[in-house]
Parts: sequence; C-alpha cells; structure tokens
Amino acid sequence: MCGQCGLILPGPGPVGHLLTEMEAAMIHRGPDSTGFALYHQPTTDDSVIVRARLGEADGAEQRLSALVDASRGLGAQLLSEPELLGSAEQAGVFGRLTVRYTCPTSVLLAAIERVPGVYVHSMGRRLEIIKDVGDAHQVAARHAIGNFIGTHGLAHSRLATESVVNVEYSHPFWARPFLDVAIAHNGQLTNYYKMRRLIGQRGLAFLTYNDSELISVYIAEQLSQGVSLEDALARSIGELDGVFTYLLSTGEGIGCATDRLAIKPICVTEHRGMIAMATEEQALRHIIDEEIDTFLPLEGTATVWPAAVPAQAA
Amino acid sequence: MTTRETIVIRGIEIEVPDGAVHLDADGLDAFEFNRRLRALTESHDSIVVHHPRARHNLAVGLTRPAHVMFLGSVGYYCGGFNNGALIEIYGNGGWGLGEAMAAGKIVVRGDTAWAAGASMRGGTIVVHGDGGPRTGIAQKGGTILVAGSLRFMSGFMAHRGKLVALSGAGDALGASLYEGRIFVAGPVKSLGGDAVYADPTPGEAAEIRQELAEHGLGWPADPLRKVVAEGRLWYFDARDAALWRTV
Repeated sequence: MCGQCGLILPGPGPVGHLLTEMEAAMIHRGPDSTGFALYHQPTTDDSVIVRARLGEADGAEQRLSALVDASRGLGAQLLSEPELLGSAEQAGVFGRLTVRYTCPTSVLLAAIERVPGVYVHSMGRRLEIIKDVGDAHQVAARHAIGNFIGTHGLAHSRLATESVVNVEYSHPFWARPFLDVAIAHNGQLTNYYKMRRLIGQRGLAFLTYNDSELISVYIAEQLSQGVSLEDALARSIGELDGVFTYLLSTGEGIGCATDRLAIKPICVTEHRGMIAMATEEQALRHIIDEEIDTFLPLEGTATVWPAAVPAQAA
Repeated sequence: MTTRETIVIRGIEIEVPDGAVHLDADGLDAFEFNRRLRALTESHDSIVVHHPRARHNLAVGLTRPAHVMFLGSVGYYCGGFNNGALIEIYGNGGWGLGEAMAAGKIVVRGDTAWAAGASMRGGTIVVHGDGGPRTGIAQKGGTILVAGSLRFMSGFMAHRGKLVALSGAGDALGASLYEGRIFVAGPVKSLGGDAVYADPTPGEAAEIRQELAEHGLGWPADPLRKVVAEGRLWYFDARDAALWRTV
C-alpha cells in the first residue's frame, strides 16, 4: 500500500502543515511510519543542514558532541548551535546541525556516521528529512512539522512490505551523498540486488537495504553527471524492474515516474499556482475546499514540476 | 410560480429536483454515511450529497431506485453493488466505481480512475470524460458508455456485457476477452492478446445509437469498430503456447 504525496507551493508557505493534512487523509494506507522531505527557500550562503537520528535519549548529548567534533575535525564550521530534537519515549532523539565545509559530502557523512548509533537522514542546502514511527499527526506533533515554512516537499506513510519497520527504513529517503535529493516511493523493485551491486561498484553506498533508497541514489547519480531530471526519470522506467510510482524531489522541483502498468496510483492537481499530487485523490481534497480538476499521469511516463522559487545559483 | 433551486459546481448549473433532501458527507464516516443515505432512499426520490471530497465507499449497496447526486468527486468503489439507484457524480469517479453493480445507473460528469465497472453484472455506467486504466475489467453484464477515451487494458477479461468508447483507447484493449463486446470509435493504440476487430451488426449499431441518444451522447464522427475475442486463449492448446506467453 503506502500513501505518498508531494506539494509545490506558489511561494514559501506552510508546506509542512499542508503535507501533514494530506498524509492524514491517507492514514489507512500505512500506519507504520511517516516521514517528510521539506525544502526551505534557497539560502544565500553555502551552508548545509544535517538531520540525523541519534538513537536512544540516553547518551544522545554525548553522541551529538561527538559528531560535532567529527565535523570540526574535517574543517567543517558550525553556523548555529547543534540542536537536540524529538522526544525520548518514541524512536529516540534527533539532531540538527547547520554546517559549512569544503571536504566532499561523502567524507563528512562517513565521519558523522562513524559515531556509533548515529544515522544521517538528510543533508542539503534546502532539504530537511524528518521521519519517525507513528501516523502523520503523531509524527508532525513530535517534530513540529506544522511550523515548517518552505517551497515544496514530499510526505509518505509506510506500510512495510519488503523491509523492516524502523526509522531508517521509513520514507522519504535521502539520496546519499547527493545534497537535496529525496524520494518517496510506492511499490517494490524486483531487480534490486542487481542494481545495488552495479551502483555499489561505482563507489556509492546505501544506509539501508530498501529498494526506494536505491532509486533515489540511481537518479541522483545521473543528476550529478548533468542528466536532466526528466531524462533520468524516463530512463528509470526501462531500467527499474518491478512495481513503482515514485516522487523524486530536488531543490528545483518534484518529478514523478510510473511503471508501465501504473498499478500504484497517483493523482495530480494544479490549482491556483499550487501543484499537489497524492496516492489518493481524497488527500488533495483534504487541503483544497473547492471543486478541482485532477488527472492521473499516464502509465510508463515521467513528469517534472518545477518549484516556484528558482534555486540559488551555485 | 416558483423557481427551482440550482447549484453551480465547476461551472455546471445543476437543477435540484423538487422535494430533494440534502445530505452532508462531512463529519460522517463511510459506514454512517451509507446508513443515512440508505434510509433516505426509502423516503425520498432525490438526495443531494454535499462534500463527498473524493472519499471512499460512498453510496455502496443501494437497492432503491432513488436519484443520488454527488456534488463533487468521489473516491474508491462509489456505487459498488448498486441494485437500482441512479447515481450522478458531478466530478470524477475513483478506483472501482460501480464495482459488481447489478442494476441501476451511474453517470459520471468527469473522468473515472482505475477499473470502473469492474465485475459489474447489470445496469449502465455513463462516463462523460475519459475512462481510466482497466475500465470494465471482468465485466459480466450491463453497459459502460465512455464519451472520451479508454486507458490501457480496458475490457480486460470481460465475460459479457458491452463497453463503448467514443474517442479511442490505449494499449491492450480487450486483452484476454471472453464474450464481452467492446465498441470503439477513434484511434486505438493496440489490441490486447487474442482481441480482434469485427464488424458491428446493423442491430448492434442501432442499439448503441439509441443508448447514446438516451444519454445525450452524439454518434461519433469516426467509424465504430467492434472488438471481440478470437477465442484462441479459451482452451489451452500447446500449439498456441507462444500466444499465451504474450499475455
């Protein structure tokens, strides 16, 4: 099952609140875990936001200071106080850092994750991934998702079919180590291990054994080589085997690709400068009161919607 | 002289029938909504439903010949098991619209999503927009009229009944048909395994012309072609193994 949605606002706005409401309308599709990939407005400096899970509350502060030390050890500069977030009773506590660094992202990422019990959920100039076990309202309340002001984002509630229920296996996934690229996916790949070996041979690593994470890295690698999102998504329809309807987001917008039988639904509306897409139409109706026109992307096609605010030039 | 109450939705002016009763779906779960709707069909001829908001399982299992008007899109399985009601949707129909309906009519003013009329046994579904993928899958009777085009694998494994599309169809139309009949005007991307074109009989053409006129749909400009099963998949024959592998 799984219920996913994406949203592009005409300008910076309450993207966290709206995605929570959309996801709440599809709670029946997957109550195991809920996650959000939210995009800020472009920043003027080249700072990167790191979102990580720090494990149990016990010892989390020590782990946070250990990862700060690891970052500083690589010459990274902390631009704000590192934050300890989330509540102790659920899936542990989370950390948020704003850093500036010159080493490759993969090197910094490896150094942070060398701290035992620390898993990085996202790194990006605009992207923050927040995910936790529980339904949309529970996760949103625990992580103050409703306060997030941004331009676009994804949300996903998961019914685990192919891998375990824990926070790292929740959607959306960050396409490590590519900044700002995230995925939400409904379906399962049947050529996962073959693709994983091929991508692994090119020196890319994964946090999990989840097929959706693989798609995100597979696409992001092509984006880093200058392939357009449209082309990368279109190519994936032939190269990925299995059932999929996925939403891939970057700092510049959101793309959607469906397999040739499109058994996993997605419904889209473009309304007053806002573009919203969701597994079920009722999620769109949940945030738009008036009658709207909706459409179902064609099977075996890729579509890209640009975010309203252009990304900051590099 | 009294003027009739009208409601405008998506630019369409809808005349509310005399004596109609209003039912607001907001705040009611599907079970409670259907319980109230069924009770209203016992006492009223027309029920106007406000705020359907594409929610699932609305108007399932109606048995009275009442007229139910949805002011907006409906979600999955609307009108499922319908046994005599006239359900009119001023919006889109979701997955499995009218699944397993036995009698009555469902009129959709917009498009339908996946598998409208799945396993329906009788009655009529009229879609003024396009029919989604697998429209009329495993149809076992009744009629589906689509003014627009059909998406891929429509008519898949239809046992009986009639599926009519006036503006073409996508891939694999009529794949693995049994004795269902498909009539299509306009471009067809491809036929499914074992589906072949045939000529409509004069009787069939007249029957469809009359049904279209009854529902305010014009006769298409393009010629109406009929799609039926060739029957090669009905019984397994080792010589046809290659054909089996294509479906």
